[in-house]
Amino acid sequence: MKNLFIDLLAFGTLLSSVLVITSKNPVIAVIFLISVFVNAAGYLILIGVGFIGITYIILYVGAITVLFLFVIMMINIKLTDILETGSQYTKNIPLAFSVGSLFIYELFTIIPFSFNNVSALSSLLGFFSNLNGLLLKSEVLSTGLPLAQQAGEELHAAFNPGLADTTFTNFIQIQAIGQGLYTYGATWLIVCSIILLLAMVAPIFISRMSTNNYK
Amino acid sequence: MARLLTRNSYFRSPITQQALLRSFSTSPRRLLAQPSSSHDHAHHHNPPTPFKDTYVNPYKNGPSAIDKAVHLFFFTEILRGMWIVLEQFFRPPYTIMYPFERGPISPRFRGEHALRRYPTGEERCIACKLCEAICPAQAITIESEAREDGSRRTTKYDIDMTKCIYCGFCQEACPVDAIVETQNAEYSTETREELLYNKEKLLANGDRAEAEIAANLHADHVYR
Amino acid sequence: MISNHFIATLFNTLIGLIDVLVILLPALLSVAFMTIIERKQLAAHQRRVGPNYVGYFGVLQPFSDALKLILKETIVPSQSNKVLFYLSPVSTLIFSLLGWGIIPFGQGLAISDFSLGVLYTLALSSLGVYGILFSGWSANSKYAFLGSLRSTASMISYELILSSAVLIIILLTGSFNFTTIIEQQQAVWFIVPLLPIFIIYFIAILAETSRTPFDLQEAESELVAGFFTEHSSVPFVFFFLAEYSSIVLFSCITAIFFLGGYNMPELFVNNTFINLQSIILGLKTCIFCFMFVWFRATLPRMRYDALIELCWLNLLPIAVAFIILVPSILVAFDIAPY
Repeated sequence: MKNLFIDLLAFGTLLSSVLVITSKNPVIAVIFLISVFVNAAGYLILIGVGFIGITYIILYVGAITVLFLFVIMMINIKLTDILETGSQYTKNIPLAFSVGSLFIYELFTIIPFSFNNVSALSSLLGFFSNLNGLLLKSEVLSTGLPLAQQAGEELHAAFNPGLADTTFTNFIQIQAIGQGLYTYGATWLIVCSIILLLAMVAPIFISRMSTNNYK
Repeated sequence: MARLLTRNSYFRSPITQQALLRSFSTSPRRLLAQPSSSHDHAHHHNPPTPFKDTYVNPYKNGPSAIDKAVHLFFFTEILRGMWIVLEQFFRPPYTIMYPFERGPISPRFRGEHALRRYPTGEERCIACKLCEAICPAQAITIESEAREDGSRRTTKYDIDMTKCIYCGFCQEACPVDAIVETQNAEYSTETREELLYNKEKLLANGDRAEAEIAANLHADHVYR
Repeated sequence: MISNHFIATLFNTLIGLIDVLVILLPALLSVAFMTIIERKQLAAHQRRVGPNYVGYFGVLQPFSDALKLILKETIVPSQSNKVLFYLSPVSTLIFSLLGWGIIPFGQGLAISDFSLGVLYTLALSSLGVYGILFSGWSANSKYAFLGSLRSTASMISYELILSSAVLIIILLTGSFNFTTIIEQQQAVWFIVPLLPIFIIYFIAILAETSRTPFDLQEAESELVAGFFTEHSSVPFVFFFLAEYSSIVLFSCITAIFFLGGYNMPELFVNNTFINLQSIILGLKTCIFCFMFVWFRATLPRMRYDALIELCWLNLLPIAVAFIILVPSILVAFDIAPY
């Protein structure tokens, strides 16, 4: 059952991302972007990395798309212009679809993607044979995360009922992220923070009032 | 502390330079030439040096920095306001429960109109039309005719309560205290037509409320 | 076809549903009574009597309010985006009510004692912003749109302060789990060492729920109504419920973070037959609900640019300073909890 949700969320992510680029109204496009992030966050929670999933919601949905919405709502977009150009694009969808699928087929043939040492194309074909297992049998692991297997827990490690004592296992994620980020990625972290600082200072400097009170 | 501000000589005015020099000097503090007070040797005191005695250190008056910081970070005036509001929480309310309790009404209160009678039962109104003339909203309509016994009385005395502004000019104008305003303000109706009072309605009002009207008039008559 | 596994999952689902109902129905009742508490308490602070007609001392007033609002006619502007117009109040209410899912009413007694509970709460407050943003935009009216933009800007600004204050508590406890936070306060309630952070947190909560002194967005007696101008009866009920639900929810969370949650140390250590600990949590929540209304009775409204300036120029440096100070103390005395 959980497997079904994982697949539904993945499908929802892809569908929403397609709807982002094909929506006529830019605000509706941002709504589908929010849907992409929420579906992706749900997917991440269900495969065991709950911390990253919820962080997705806090950061992407809570801050970044709000920023996008503010920008879109405050600039003067004329919907009629968008509708005009939009109708020209939708005429070419069959051509776009065929070219895109050819490209993706070529990509999958050249680059050896594999899940569990099974090449991706045969797993795509095996999807139909797995369809029965989704609904009637118990868990069929289609993705194997070494982390979850190592900890020996089930995939939905994010939801632990009962007392607080049993929830320490989830701290392994955050510790792992912290140890990796602050030792191996320390330089990159500092560089990112400097970029963020510059990004914060720049709009403040640009948008300050010309009657300067130098605070 | 003011010395620190004046360290940069660019900001120094002659007066502050003098001030700087004075802090290291050992001579008596005298800025400008003072008129010698030769006639006042008994009370020999330093004449007031203009800069020293009039210079106000802006950091010495008022609350200290730590006081200001405490007031800033711990919202002292907001907390004081909140304490006052909390005190009010425990005090009884001032509310009057209206339909069951009413507030005090003065005897001069201008409410619903009434036509009065003499104690013998004769109606007071003599159709002089002073009230109709003075009504600012022209709410009173009067028609008069001689009655069978020859006296001057009205046949039609209408007050349109929807036009009336309850100013009380009619009761001030009436020479015989016929038209008065009672203390009743609770006579709302459901149709507009019921608010166009005619003579019967006004007389009935008067009969109903005569004791109250008489008492109010007596209480107020010295001022009229 | 009907196997043991199927019956087991069905039973578990049913128990889960009853869990949710047991928590959600009293939560909704508490939201309803919060409205009458606010009106009566405001009246008491202002030396008058609030609603006293409907029940004994007016306690049935919220039900008559709800009935009136439901029976009103729902007016939808013709040029509005109908889907978003109906969806945004619904989503605001949903995200407000979802927050009740992780609050523990006893040791581990929550609908789901989520190990990342605090992050879940922060995520829900981030998501709650969207209901407001889209309700103003979808109403296709200038005033609603501007009101919603202002509301959103203030809410995302103060979310930062809220996250900073909560982060400091997490540093002190070492876990995101609500039950762990409460158990860690057995030595001392966190309001004692972290009083300045409590002040910052409380200001952030007042701004998150758009309460006075930060409610220029609605400004009930001044502007038209801010972002829910065009929403009439049932959509308005949802916004109304969502606002008071977030007030009660944030009061509860404040009680959990700073005041020790359901623990009254040394008095009620074990669960007795009736869950006394939930009553203790309820009383502490009441203290903070009282404080919400007390602030509303005392303080005048802040002007909008003063509000934003307070957040970014005054509170944010203090919050960052505490984020630097508290881990420094923890590392210096080697008392980090993990």
